[in-house]
Amino acid sequence: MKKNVFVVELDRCIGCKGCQVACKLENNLGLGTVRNAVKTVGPTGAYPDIQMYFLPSMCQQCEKPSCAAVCPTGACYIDPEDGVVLIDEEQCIGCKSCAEACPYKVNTFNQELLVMDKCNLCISSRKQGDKPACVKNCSGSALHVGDINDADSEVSKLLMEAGEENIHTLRDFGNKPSVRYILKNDTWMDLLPQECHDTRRGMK
Amino acid sequence: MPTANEYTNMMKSREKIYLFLSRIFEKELTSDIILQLQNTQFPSDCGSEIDQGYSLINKYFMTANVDIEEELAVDYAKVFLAAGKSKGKAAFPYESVYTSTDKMVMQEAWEQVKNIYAAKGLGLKTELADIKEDHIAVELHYMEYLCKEFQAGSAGICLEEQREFLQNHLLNWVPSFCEDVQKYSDTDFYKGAAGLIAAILNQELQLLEELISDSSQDPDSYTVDLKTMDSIMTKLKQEYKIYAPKLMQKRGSEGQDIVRYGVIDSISEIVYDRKSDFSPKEVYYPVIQTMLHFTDETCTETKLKDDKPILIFVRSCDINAMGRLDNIFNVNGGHADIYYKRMRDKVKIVMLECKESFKNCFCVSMGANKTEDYSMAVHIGDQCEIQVKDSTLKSYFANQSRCDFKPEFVSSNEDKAVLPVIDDKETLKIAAGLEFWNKFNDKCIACGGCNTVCPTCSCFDTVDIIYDETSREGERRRVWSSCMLNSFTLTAGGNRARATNGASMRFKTLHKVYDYRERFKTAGNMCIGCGRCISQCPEEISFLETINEFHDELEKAKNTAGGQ
Repeated sequence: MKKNVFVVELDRCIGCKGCQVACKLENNLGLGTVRNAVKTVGPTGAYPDIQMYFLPSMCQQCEKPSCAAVCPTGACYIDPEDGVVLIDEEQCIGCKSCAEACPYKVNTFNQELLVMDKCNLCISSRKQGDKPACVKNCSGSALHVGDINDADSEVSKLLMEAGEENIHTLRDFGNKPSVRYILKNDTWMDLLPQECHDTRRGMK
Repeated sequence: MPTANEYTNMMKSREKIYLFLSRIFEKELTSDIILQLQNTQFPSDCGSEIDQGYSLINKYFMTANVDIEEELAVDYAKVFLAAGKSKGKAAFPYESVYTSTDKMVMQEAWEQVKNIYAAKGLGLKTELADIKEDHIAVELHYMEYLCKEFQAGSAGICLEEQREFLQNHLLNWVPSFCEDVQKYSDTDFYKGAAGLIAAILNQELQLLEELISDSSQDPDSYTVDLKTMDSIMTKLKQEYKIYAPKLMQKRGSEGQDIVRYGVIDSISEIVYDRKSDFSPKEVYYPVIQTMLHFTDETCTETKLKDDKPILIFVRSCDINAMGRLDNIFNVNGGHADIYYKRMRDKVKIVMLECKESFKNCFCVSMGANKTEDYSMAVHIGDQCEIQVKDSTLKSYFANQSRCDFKPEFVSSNEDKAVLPVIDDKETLKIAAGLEFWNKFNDKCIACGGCNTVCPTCSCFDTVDIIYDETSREGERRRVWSSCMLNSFTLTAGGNRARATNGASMRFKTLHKVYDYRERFKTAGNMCIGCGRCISQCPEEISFLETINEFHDELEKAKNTAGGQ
């Protein structure tokens, strides 16, 4: 079955938040609504062996999404066509049960429409054969999107090249997160997005 | 029996007659109207009394040789407004005056009609100070409204409503009012108009009685093969939007197939051998409804985008549930909820015969296994067996072979509910204070899923949406809400009236098996025993077991309290 997800080369992410900005513009997101916050992991270790990397944290497109499981109206569901977890705005009652249920706290509340909001891999762009805004605007080319169940896809090849030991997913609570992170130069830290710092440029 | 088209035409012409009569009595005639009347060829074969009225009016216009507008205005003022030298010899055009003992305006009858209008979401809007709700022009105008409503919605109820209003609020006083007009009026015009209206109202009553007895005739049954049924559906689709439980592939919480209400094209799309996961309420009480649009200066109430009537395939339990929602939205508080009503009025019910119960069903215990409230009933097998009550729907089956199908109902479920007996406030206090409720504090996760699948849950939240964070334009919506959510009783300052999930459960349970019954003094409880909430609950809490355990615990507590 088709499963469209992000594959992120963390070694190429410079924490510029270009993806975040592109997403907000593309999807016309209001104040406080963020679908893909870039987090900072670290610095960890003791001098001189210290490391730090950035973690773009968007919806993990779980195979067994806890958000869909708790949705009382059936507004949250997996698109049978491509495995992307979607929210039907027409059915969402804004009860925030899914926000509660998401182990990564990556869905967000749309303050204007008062419904839940989450990354849908820029569904309207994809329908026109285009890539999600964040992928197009990633200055380090760290973000990739594609069908990980198709061995011939660009992302599958990328994962193949990276090698099993360098491929990571966020912690699995039985919900099977699907976004793949490739990290070669640093040691993967098993942290959830909400446990990391927000990425801030300039003064702390 | 009239066909659908004939019905519509009949209602249209009745609508016009009422408008005409209403205008005559509303205020003085203007020169435009007088000119129109002068050039009108009145009918002359409507029955002697009506003809007499018309000919008097006609005679007036033929013979009058003064300033007609002025003469009529003077007569109007004298007869209806008691102006000038009438000295009490006037016909006051208010129901109250004719029905109250003191012959005063704004008495009981005025209250009654005001409530009737309010239940339809109507209010009086006029610049004329003399016009009250029970003024003859307003009452006639309301009949015109009912004729209009008939064309939009379900036939049976509207006709009954028209007859009731005609009998209780027009024919109870208009005849004596008309006698007074004929006594005190100086012009043949108003004398004729009075005779005319009295005669027309009498004829109207006869007509309505005939139509009602027609529409409540014995139902007809037919056998139709599936292919023919589909072609009938195609015809029905031109007039109606057809909703039924259908399979939504992979739309379940774990990607499984679920059954939910949606628009169908073919009879084969109906999922008949399985209970729908969600109730039909989402058709006539949608998850999200926009009530009004606003900008900085303006506020516009929404209109229905689609006024096509709806045919909906539902089982008997859900038909009973519709009755519950009707009560909650349209009866409670004495005012009809216009946003609910405008959708609900479009609905015609097709009952899906339901002889065997499914998993978790306990409709028999809740008395919701049977109903007579449907326009058409259907059994779907290798062919369709159909019983049609509604006269307009009958015309679609004119050439089909007859049979003697009569829908049967479930008579026993595997699961049974034992309902708690709460007779007085003391017992209610004991029920509310049971330790039993606390067990749900940890068990229930407050997801609200039980409420959203329930066919009788009616709670909603109103929210204001702005289209853009910097815009001043937006809309007010109402969105389903659930009493099981933690935020449901949250008020400003962070107080939560029902602070635990157990308290929410207590509220919901009492609401479903006690409060509603007590409030409306009906035999039926709010819960109709469809068992959807049981299948939906992610924590496997059974509402049926909850009711039964509640009953047992309450009995125990009652005994202890009685023994002390």
